[in-house]
Amino acid sequence: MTGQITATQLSKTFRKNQAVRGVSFDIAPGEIYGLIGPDGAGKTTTIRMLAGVMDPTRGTARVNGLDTTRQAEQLRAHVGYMAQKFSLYGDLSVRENIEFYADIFGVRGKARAERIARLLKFARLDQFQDRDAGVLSGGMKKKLGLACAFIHRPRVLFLDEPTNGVDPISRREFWDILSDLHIEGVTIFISTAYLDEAERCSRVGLMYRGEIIREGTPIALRQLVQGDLLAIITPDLQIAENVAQKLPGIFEVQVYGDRLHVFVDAGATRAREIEIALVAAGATIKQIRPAAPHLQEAFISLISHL
Amino acid sequence: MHKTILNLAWKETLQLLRDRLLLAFMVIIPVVQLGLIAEATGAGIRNIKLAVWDQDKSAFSRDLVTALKNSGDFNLMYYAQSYDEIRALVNDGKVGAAVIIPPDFSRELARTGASATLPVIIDGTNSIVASSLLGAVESAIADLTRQFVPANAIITPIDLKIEFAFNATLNIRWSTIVTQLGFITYQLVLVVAAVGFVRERELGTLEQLAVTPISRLELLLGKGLMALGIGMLNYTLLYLAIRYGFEIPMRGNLALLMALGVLFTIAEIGVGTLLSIVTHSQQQAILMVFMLAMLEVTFSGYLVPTENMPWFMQTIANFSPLQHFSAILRAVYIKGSSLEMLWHHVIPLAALTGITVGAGWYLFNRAEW
Ligand SMILES: Nc1ncnc2c1ncn2[C@@H]1O[C@H](COP(=O)(O)OP(=O)(O)OP(=O)(O)O)[C@@H](O)[C@H]1O
Ligand SMILES: [Mg+2]
Repeated sequence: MTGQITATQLSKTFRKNQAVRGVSFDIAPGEIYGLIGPDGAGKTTTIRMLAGVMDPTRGTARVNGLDTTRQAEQLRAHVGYMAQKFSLYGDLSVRENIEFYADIFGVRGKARAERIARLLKFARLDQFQDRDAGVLSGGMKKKLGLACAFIHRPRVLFLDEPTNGVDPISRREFWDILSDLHIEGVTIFISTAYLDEAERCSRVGLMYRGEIIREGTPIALRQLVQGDLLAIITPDLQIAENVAQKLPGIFEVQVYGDRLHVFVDAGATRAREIEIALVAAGATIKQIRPAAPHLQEAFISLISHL
Repeated sequence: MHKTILNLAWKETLQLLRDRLLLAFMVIIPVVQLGLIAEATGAGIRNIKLAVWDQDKSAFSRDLVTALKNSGDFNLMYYAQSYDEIRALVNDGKVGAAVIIPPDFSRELARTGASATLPVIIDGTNSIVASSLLGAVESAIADLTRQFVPANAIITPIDLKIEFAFNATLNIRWSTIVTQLGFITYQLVLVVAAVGFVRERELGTLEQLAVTPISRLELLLGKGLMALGIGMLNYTLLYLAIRYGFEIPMRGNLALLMALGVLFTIAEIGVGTLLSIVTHSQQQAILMVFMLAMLEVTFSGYLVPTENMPWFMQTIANFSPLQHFSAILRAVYIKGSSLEMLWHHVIPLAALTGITVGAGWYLFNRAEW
C-alpha cells in the first residue's frame, strides 16, 4: 500500500464494546476523505487511532508512511488533528493560542512571525487577533482551531466533525479554507454529520456500528440506491406515507419536511399509480416529480436495508 | 526539550494571571488568614480569667496581684490556697491562667544579683488562645518589673517559669504564625496542581496536546515548573511578611528553610497532580483538595500536638507531608534547628515527595488523553 493514510483491519474494543471492527482503507495523497455515519458509529475512535492519540486493539495504520503506534512520536510533525471536542484556551487571545502551538511545534525564528500572520489571514482572523478566544463566535473558534492544527504545515489533517454546531455561512467559509488546503496538496480526513459536506469530499466512507459499510465517490454512493426517486409535495403527509408504503413496487418511503421521498422500481409508471392511490385516499397532491437522490437519501436507504 | 517545557510553563503563567478567581485565592486568602491569625494571637483577648496562689503574702506580692488585676487583660477570679487547687482550676477550664507566687518571692527579688522565679500555668488546649494568654502575662509582668524595680538599681528580672497545661510543646504565637507559611503554600500549590490536568481534560485541550511533539514528561514538568514557581514566590513573600511584617525573628538557616520549602512544594505538586489525574472535573479535584486539607491540617499538630495524638493517628500523620513540613518550619524558624536535627522529618518528607511524584508520573503515563 502506498497511500498517505492506510488502515488494515483497524479495531478498537472498550471493555466489551467493539467501537471499531476491522476497518481498512487506503487514501491517496491529496484526497479529501469524508467519514460519515450516525452517532456512536465509531468515527471519533477511528480518527483518534489514525492521529496516534489512541492505540488500536487490533490492526495497524500508517500515516505518511509511519506506523501510528510504533512511530507515533515522529508522526506528530506530519499530522494535524482537530478533535471533536476541540477547544482553545479561552483565556488566551487568538494570537496567543496560535503562538503557543507554534512554540510547542518548534516553529521558531523568522518563519514563526511570517507563518502566524499568514495563517491568521488565511483563517480570516487577522482583525481579531487580540480578542480572547473564549468570546469568539462558534465559526471563528473552529477556524482558529484549524489554524492551530495547521501551524506546523502538516501533510495530513484529521478533522473530527469540525463544523458541528456552526451556522451554514461559517460552514461554507470553513470549507473554502479546506479547499485552499486541498489545492496546496494537503490530505484531509474529515468526519461530518452534514451530508452536503460529504458531497464535497473526493471519497466518502459510510460508517455504521464500527464498520465501513460502503465506500466510494459521492456520485458512486448515490447510485448505490436501488430504483428511482420520486418527490411528492403534499399537505397530507401522514396519509400519503401510510398509503404509499403499501403500494406495489415501492422500496422505501422517507419523510423530509413538507415532502415525501419515495424510492420505486420504475419511476414513470409508479408515479401515476401513486397519484391515483393518494387521491383516492383523500390526500391533496401539490406536485409529484422524479428527483436525483442526495447522499442523505442514499445514506438512510443504505442503512435501513442492513 | 527544555524549551518546550518553558513554553508550556509560560502559557500556564499567562492563564494563571488571567484567572481572577485563582489570583484572588492566591492574594486574598493569605492576607486574610495571616491577618486573622495575627488578630487572634495578638492582644485580642481581654478578660482572661486568672487564679492566684499567693504564698508570699508580702506587700510586694499584693501589689503584683493588684497590678495584674488593673492591667485590664485579666479578671481575677480565684485566690487559691494550694497547688492542687490551682491545677484543678486550670484543668477544669475555670481559669485560663494561674500565677503562683513562691513564699520567698519578694525577698529573692530584693536580693541584688539574683532573679526571682514566678511560675505561671497557662491553659494550652488551644494553642492560639494559649499564645495570646502568654503574651498578656508576659507584658503585664514586664510592666510590673519596670514599675517596682527602681531605675537606678541593678535590674533583677522576674523569671517567668511558664508551664502549659495539656500542651507539652511550646505553641506560642510565633509558631502559630510560622506554621501558616506552610499552610498557605500548601493550599495554593495543591489547588494549582490539582486543577492542572483535569482542567485541560475538561476543556478538551489535553487531547489536542496529545498530537503535538510535547511528551508526557514535558507536560508534567512544564505544569510542575509553573506550580513550583508560583508556590515558591508565594512562600518567599509570606516569609518576608512574617519576618519583617510580624517581626518574628528567624533563628535558623535561610537556605535550609528555602531548600526544604522547595522539597515540600514538590511533594504537594505530586499530590495535586495525582488528584488531577484521578478526577474527572475541576470541581471534583477542588473538593478532594479540601477534604485532604482538612485531614492534613488536623494531623499537622496545629490544633492538637501530634505527640499528644493516639498512636494510630500518629501513624497516619507520618504520611502527611504537611505534618512533617509544619514540624520542620517550627524547628528551623523558631528554634534554629539544623538539618542534622531534622532528619526524622526530612527523610519522610523526601520519601513522600518521591512517592507522590513517582505515582503521578506512573498514572499519567497510563492515563488516556
Ligand atoms: N474512551 C472511551 N471509552 C469507552 N467507550 C468509548 C470511548 N470512546 C468511545 N467509546 C464508545 O465507542 C463507540 C463509538 O464512539 P465514537 O465516539 O467513536 O463514535 P462517533 O461515530 O464519533 O459518534 P459521534 O457522532 O457521537 O461523535 C460508542 O459506543 C462510544 O460509547
Ligand atoms: Mg465522534
